Amino acid sequence: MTNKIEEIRQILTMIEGLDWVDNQAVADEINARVWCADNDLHIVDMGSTLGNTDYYCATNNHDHVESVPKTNYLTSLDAIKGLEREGFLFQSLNYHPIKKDFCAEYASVQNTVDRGDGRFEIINPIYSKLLPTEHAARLYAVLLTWIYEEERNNETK
Amino acid sequence: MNKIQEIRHILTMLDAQEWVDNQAIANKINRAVKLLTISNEKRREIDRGLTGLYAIPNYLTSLDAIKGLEREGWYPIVYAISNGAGCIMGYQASMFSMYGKVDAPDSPTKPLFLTEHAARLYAVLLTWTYEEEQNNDE
Repeated sequence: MTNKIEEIRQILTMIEGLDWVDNQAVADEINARVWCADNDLHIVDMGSTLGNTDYYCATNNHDHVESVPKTNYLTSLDAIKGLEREGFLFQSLNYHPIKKDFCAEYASVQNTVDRGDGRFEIINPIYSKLLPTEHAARLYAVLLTWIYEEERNNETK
Repeated sequence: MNKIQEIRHILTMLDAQEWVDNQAIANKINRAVKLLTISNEKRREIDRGLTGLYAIPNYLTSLDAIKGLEREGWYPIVYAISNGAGCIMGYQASMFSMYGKVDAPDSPTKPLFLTEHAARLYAVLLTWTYEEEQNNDE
Protein backbone atom coordinates (compact mmCIF):
# COMPACT_ATOMS: atom_id res chain seq x y z
CA MET A 1 0.00 0.00 0.00
CA THR A 2 1.31 3.42 -0.88
CA ASN A 3 0.79 6.69 0.88
CA LYS A 4 -1.48 9.34 -0.54
CA ILE A 5 1.28 11.50 -2.00
CA GLU A 6 2.67 8.48 -3.79
CA GLU A 7 -0.79 7.62 -5.13
CA ILE A 8 -1.27 11.12 -6.47
CA ARG A 9 2.16 11.10 -8.08
CA GLN A 10 1.22 7.88 -9.86
CA ILE A 11 -1.85 9.60 -11.29
CA LEU A 12 0.24 12.57 -12.42
CA THR A 13 2.64 10.22 -14.16
CA MET A 14 -0.26 8.57 -15.95
CA ILE A 15 -1.63 11.94 -17.09
CA GLU A 16 1.83 13.00 -18.31
CA GLY A 17 2.13 9.74 -20.24
CA LEU A 18 -0.74 10.83 -22.52
CA ASP A 19 -1.78 7.21 -23.12
CA TRP A 20 -5.25 8.26 -21.95
CA VAL A 21 -5.66 10.36 -25.12
CA ASP A 22 -6.40 7.31 -27.25
CA ASN A 23 -6.68 4.53 -24.69
CA GLN A 24 -9.97 4.59 -22.80
CA ALA A 25 -8.79 1.92 -20.37
CA VAL A 26 -6.00 4.19 -19.17
CA ALA A 27 -8.42 7.13 -18.96
CA ASP A 28 -10.78 4.97 -16.90
CA GLU A 29 -7.97 4.00 -14.57
CA ILE A 30 -6.96 7.63 -14.07
CA ASN A 31 -10.56 8.54 -13.28
CA ALA A 32 -10.88 5.66 -10.82
CA ARG A 33 -7.60 6.52 -9.11
CA VAL A 34 -8.58 10.18 -8.76
CA TRP A 35 -11.91 9.24 -7.29
CA CYS A 36 -10.30 6.82 -4.85
CA ALA A 37 -7.67 9.35 -3.81
CA ASP A 38 -10.33 12.01 -3.26
CA ASN A 39 -12.23 9.70 -1.01
CA ASP A 40 -9.11 8.76 0.86
CA LEU A 41 -9.42 5.20 -0.30
CA HIS A 42 -6.70 2.92 -1.47
CA ILE A 43 -7.03 1.12 -4.76
CA VAL A 44 -6.81 -2.63 -4.68
CA ASP A 45 -5.12 -4.48 -7.50
CA MET A 46 -5.80 -1.87 -10.16
CA GLY A 47 -3.51 -3.68 -12.58
CA SER A 48 -5.83 -6.62 -12.90
CA THR A 49 -8.80 -4.39 -13.67
CA LEU A 50 -7.19 -2.35 -16.42
CA GLY A 51 -9.62 -2.17 -19.30
CA ASN A 52 -12.58 -2.82 -17.07
CA THR A 53 -14.54 0.27 -16.09
CA ASP A 54 -16.13 -1.44 -13.11
CA TYR A 55 -13.35 -0.65 -10.69
CA TYR A 56 -13.30 -1.54 -7.05
CA CYS A 57 -11.47 -0.10 -4.17
CA ALA A 58 -11.23 -0.67 -0.47
CA THR A 59 -10.85 1.56 2.50
CA ASN A 60 -7.55 1.86 4.25
CA ASN A 61 -8.37 -0.93 6.64
CA HIS A 62 -9.99 -3.04 3.90
CA ASP A 63 -13.18 -3.42 5.92
CA HIS A 64 -15.40 -3.02 2.92
CA VAL A 65 -15.28 -2.81 -0.84
CA GLU A 66 -17.39 -0.51 -2.95
CA SER A 67 -17.80 0.33 -6.56
CA VAL A 68 -16.15 3.44 -7.91
CA PRO A 69 -18.58 5.78 -9.67
CA LYS A 70 -17.70 6.55 -13.25
CA THR A 71 -16.83 10.20 -12.80
CA ASN A 72 -14.91 11.37 -15.84
CA TYR A 73 -12.42 13.91 -14.59
CA LEU A 74 -10.72 13.99 -17.98
CA THR A 75 -13.83 15.34 -19.70
CA SER A 76 -15.80 17.19 -17.02
CA LEU A 77 -14.78 20.59 -15.71
CA ASP A 78 -17.55 20.35 -13.13
CA ALA A 79 -16.00 17.14 -11.79
CA ILE A 80 -12.59 18.81 -11.58
CA LYS A 81 -14.10 21.88 -9.94
CA GLY A 82 -15.44 19.51 -7.29
CA LEU A 83 -11.88 18.41 -6.52
CA GLU A 84 -10.67 21.89 -5.67
CA ARG A 85 -9.50 22.12 -2.08
CA GLU A 86 -10.52 24.91 0.22
CA GLY A 87 -7.74 27.44 0.47
CA PHE A 88 -6.61 27.10 -3.14
CA LEU A 89 -7.65 29.35 -5.99
CA PHE A 90 -7.74 28.62 -9.66
CA GLN A 91 -5.55 31.35 -11.08
CA SER A 92 -5.09 30.96 -14.78
CA LEU A 93 -5.27 28.85 -17.86
CA ASN A 94 -3.03 29.43 -20.82
CA TYR A 95 -3.26 27.99 -24.27
CA HIS A 96 -0.51 27.82 -26.84
CA PRO A 97 -2.20 28.17 -30.23
CA ILE A 98 0.70 26.65 -32.17
CA LYS A 99 1.72 23.82 -29.86
CA LYS A 100 -1.97 23.39 -28.98
CA ASP A 101 -1.44 22.63 -25.33
CA PHE A 102 -2.73 24.02 -22.07
CA CYS A 103 -1.19 25.01 -18.75
CA ALA A 104 -3.32 25.55 -15.64
CA GLU A 105 -2.29 27.40 -12.50
CA TYR A 106 -3.51 27.24 -8.92
CA ALA A 107 -2.29 29.09 -5.87
CA SER A 108 -2.72 28.80 -2.15
CA VAL A 109 -4.65 31.67 -0.61
CA GLN A 110 -1.95 31.82 2.06
CA ASN A 111 0.59 32.42 -0.68
CA THR A 112 -1.37 35.24 -2.27
CA VAL A 113 0.04 38.52 -0.99
CA ASP A 114 -1.79 41.83 -1.28
CA ARG A 115 0.67 44.34 -2.77
CA GLY A 116 -1.50 47.18 -1.64
CA ASP A 117 -2.04 48.67 -5.09
CA GLY A 118 -5.01 46.52 -5.91
CA ARG A 119 -2.79 43.76 -7.22
CA PHE A 120 -1.78 40.48 -5.68
CA GLU A 121 1.50 38.66 -5.82
CA ILE A 122 1.44 34.89 -5.86
CA ILE A 123 4.27 33.08 -4.13
CA ASN A 124 4.96 29.53 -5.27
CA PRO A 125 2.24 29.24 -7.90
CA ILE A 126 1.34 25.67 -8.80
CA TYR A 127 1.52 24.99 -12.53
CA SER A 128 0.48 21.97 -14.51
CA LYS A 129 2.65 20.48 -17.21
CA LEU A 130 1.74 21.40 -20.78
CA LEU A 131 -1.07 19.04 -21.69
CA PRO A 132 -3.29 18.60 -24.75
CA THR A 133 -6.63 19.41 -23.11
CA GLU A 134 -7.94 22.04 -20.74
CA HIS A 135 -9.35 19.29 -18.55
CA ALA A 136 -6.07 17.41 -18.23
CA ALA A 137 -4.11 20.55 -17.41
CA ARG A 138 -6.59 21.61 -14.79
CA LEU A 139 -6.86 18.14 -13.27
CA TYR A 140 -3.07 17.93 -13.11
CA ALA A 141 -2.80 21.29 -11.34
CA VAL A 142 -5.56 20.38 -8.87
CA LEU A 143 -3.75 17.17 -8.01
CA LEU A 144 -0.57 19.16 -7.42
CA THR A 145 -2.47 21.23 -4.86
CA TRP A 146 -3.40 17.96 -3.12
CA ILE A 147 0.26 17.02 -2.87
CA TYR A 148 1.05 20.49 -1.56
CA GLU A 149 -1.68 20.10 1.05
CA GLU A 150 -0.62 16.57 2.02
CA GLU A 151 3.00 17.66 2.43
CA ARG A 152 1.92 20.59 4.55
CA ASN A 153 -0.24 18.28 6.68
CA ASN A 154 2.67 15.89 7.11
CA GLU A 155 4.92 18.74 8.24
CA THR A 156 2.48 19.87 10.88
CA LYS A 157 1.99 16.38 12.34
CA MET B 1 -34.60 41.51 -30.75
CA ASN B 2 -31.97 40.17 -33.09
CA LYS B 3 -29.39 37.71 -31.82
CA ILE B 4 -26.74 40.30 -31.01
CA GLN B 5 -29.26 42.30 -29.01
CA GLU B 6 -30.30 39.16 -27.18
CA ILE B 7 -26.71 38.37 -26.27
CA ARG B 8 -26.09 41.96 -25.14
CA HIS B 9 -29.17 41.76 -22.97
CA ILE B 10 -27.77 38.63 -21.28
CA LEU B 11 -24.40 40.32 -20.83
CA THR B 12 -26.13 43.24 -19.16
CA MET B 13 -28.01 40.90 -16.82
CA LEU B 14 -24.77 39.12 -15.93
CA ASP B 15 -22.97 42.39 -15.41
CA ALA B 16 -25.64 43.62 -13.00
CA GLN B 17 -24.86 40.62 -10.76
CA GLU B 18 -28.42 40.50 -9.44
CA TRP B 19 -28.49 36.80 -10.33
CA VAL B 20 -26.27 36.16 -7.32
CA ASP B 21 -29.15 36.32 -4.87
CA ASN B 22 -32.13 36.38 -7.18
CA GLN B 23 -32.97 32.95 -8.55
CA ALA B 24 -35.63 34.35 -10.86
CA ILE B 25 -33.00 36.42 -12.67
CA ALA B 26 -30.61 33.47 -12.73
CA ASN B 27 -33.37 31.38 -14.33
CA LYS B 28 -34.01 34.15 -16.83
CA ILE B 29 -30.34 34.20 -17.81
CA ASN B 30 -30.22 30.43 -18.16
CA ARG B 31 -33.35 30.40 -20.32
CA ALA B 32 -32.08 33.23 -22.50
CA VAL B 33 -28.76 31.46 -23.06
CA LYS B 34 -30.49 28.20 -23.89
CA LEU B 35 -32.69 30.02 -26.42
CA LEU B 36 -29.57 31.23 -28.19
CA THR B 37 -28.56 27.65 -28.83
CA ILE B 38 -31.69 26.50 -30.62
CA SER B 39 -32.82 26.97 -34.19
CA ASN B 40 -35.17 29.73 -35.35
CA GLU B 41 -37.69 27.11 -36.41
CA LYS B 42 -37.72 25.56 -32.94
CA ARG B 43 -38.03 29.00 -31.40
CA ARG B 44 -41.08 29.77 -33.52
CA GLU B 45 -42.62 26.51 -32.31
CA ILE B 46 -41.96 27.54 -28.72
CA ASP B 47 -43.42 30.99 -29.35
CA ARG B 48 -46.56 29.39 -30.75
CA GLY B 49 -46.82 27.12 -27.74
CA LEU B 50 -46.35 23.98 -29.84
CA THR B 51 -43.46 22.84 -27.69
CA GLY B 52 -41.60 23.92 -24.59
CA LEU B 53 -38.04 24.79 -23.76
CA TYR B 54 -36.85 21.75 -21.90
CA ALA B 55 -33.66 20.72 -20.12
CA ILE B 56 -32.30 24.19 -19.51
CA PRO B 57 -28.77 23.82 -18.12
CA ASN B 58 -27.67 25.91 -15.20
CA TYR B 59 -24.97 27.86 -16.96
CA LEU B 60 -24.28 29.85 -13.82
CA THR B 61 -23.19 26.76 -11.91
CA SER B 62 -21.92 24.34 -14.55
CA LEU B 63 -18.60 24.76 -16.31
CA ASP B 64 -19.48 21.80 -18.50
CA ALA B 65 -22.61 23.57 -19.70
CA ILE B 66 -20.58 26.66 -20.53
CA LYS B 67 -17.94 24.53 -22.23
CA GLY B 68 -20.74 23.32 -24.50
CA LEU B 69 -21.28 26.91 -25.67
CA GLU B 70 -17.73 27.34 -26.92
CA ARG B 71 -17.49 28.01 -30.62
CA GLU B 72 -15.01 26.21 -32.79
CA GLY B 73 -11.73 28.06 -33.11
CA TRP B 74 -11.96 29.74 -29.73
CA TYR B 75 -9.88 28.70 -26.77
CA PRO B 76 -10.23 29.61 -23.12
CA ILE B 77 -7.23 31.53 -21.93
CA VAL B 78 -6.15 33.69 -19.01
CA TYR B 79 -8.32 33.56 -16.02
CA ALA B 80 -7.13 35.97 -13.38
CA ILE B 81 -8.83 35.29 -10.13
CA SER B 82 -6.33 37.29 -8.08
CA ASN B 83 -7.30 37.07 -4.43
CA GLY B 84 -10.51 35.13 -4.91
CA ALA B 85 -12.60 38.27 -4.73
CA GLY B 86 -13.44 38.09 -8.37
CA CYS B 87 -12.79 36.49 -11.69
CA ILE B 88 -11.85 37.49 -15.19
CA MET B 89 -12.07 35.10 -18.04
CA GLY B 90 -10.96 35.31 -21.60
CA TYR B 91 -11.20 33.53 -24.89
CA GLN B 92 -8.70 33.69 -27.66
CA ALA B 93 -9.00 33.14 -31.36
CA SER B 94 -5.66 33.13 -33.16
CA MET B 95 -4.66 36.79 -33.30
CA PHE B 96 -6.71 38.41 -30.56
CA SER B 97 -8.37 37.90 -27.24
CA MET B 98 -11.73 38.73 -25.73
CA TYR B 99 -11.99 39.09 -22.01
CA GLY B 100 -15.08 38.82 -19.94
CA LYS B 101 -15.97 42.05 -18.20
CA VAL B 102 -12.62 43.78 -18.50
CA ASP B 103 -10.43 44.59 -21.44
CA ALA B 104 -7.14 43.25 -20.10
CA PRO B 105 -6.21 40.22 -18.04
CA ASP B 106 -3.95 42.15 -15.72
CA SER B 107 -6.53 44.63 -14.51
CA PRO B 108 -7.80 43.12 -11.29
CA THR B 109 -8.80 46.49 -9.88
CA LYS B 110 -11.64 46.75 -12.35
CA PRO B 111 -15.02 45.24 -11.43
CA LEU B 112 -14.86 41.46 -11.47
CA PHE B 113 -17.36 38.68 -11.55
CA LEU B 114 -18.04 36.87 -8.34
CA THR B 115 -17.76 33.41 -9.81
CA GLU B 116 -15.65 31.67 -12.38
CA HIS B 117 -18.84 30.47 -14.03
CA ALA B 118 -20.24 33.94 -14.59
CA ALA B 119 -16.95 35.28 -15.91
CA ARG B 120 -16.61 32.38 -18.29
CA LEU B 121 -20.20 32.61 -19.46
CA TYR B 122 -19.73 36.33 -20.09
CA ALA B 123 -16.56 35.71 -22.08
CA VAL B 124 -18.02 32.92 -24.18
CA LEU B 125 -21.02 35.10 -25.02
CA LEU B 126 -18.63 37.85 -26.11
CA THR B 127 -17.21 35.44 -28.67
CA TRP B 128 -20.75 34.83 -29.90
CA THR B 129 -21.30 38.56 -30.29
CA TYR B 130 -18.07 38.82 -32.22
CA GLU B 131 -19.03 35.99 -34.54
CA GLU B 132 -22.52 37.37 -35.10
CA GLU B 133 -21.08 40.77 -35.98
CA GLN B 134 -18.62 39.15 -38.37
CA ASN B 135 -21.46 37.22 -40.00
CA ASN B 136 -23.52 40.39 -40.36
CA ASP B 137 -20.58 42.25 -41.91
CA GLU B 138 -20.26 39.54 -44.51
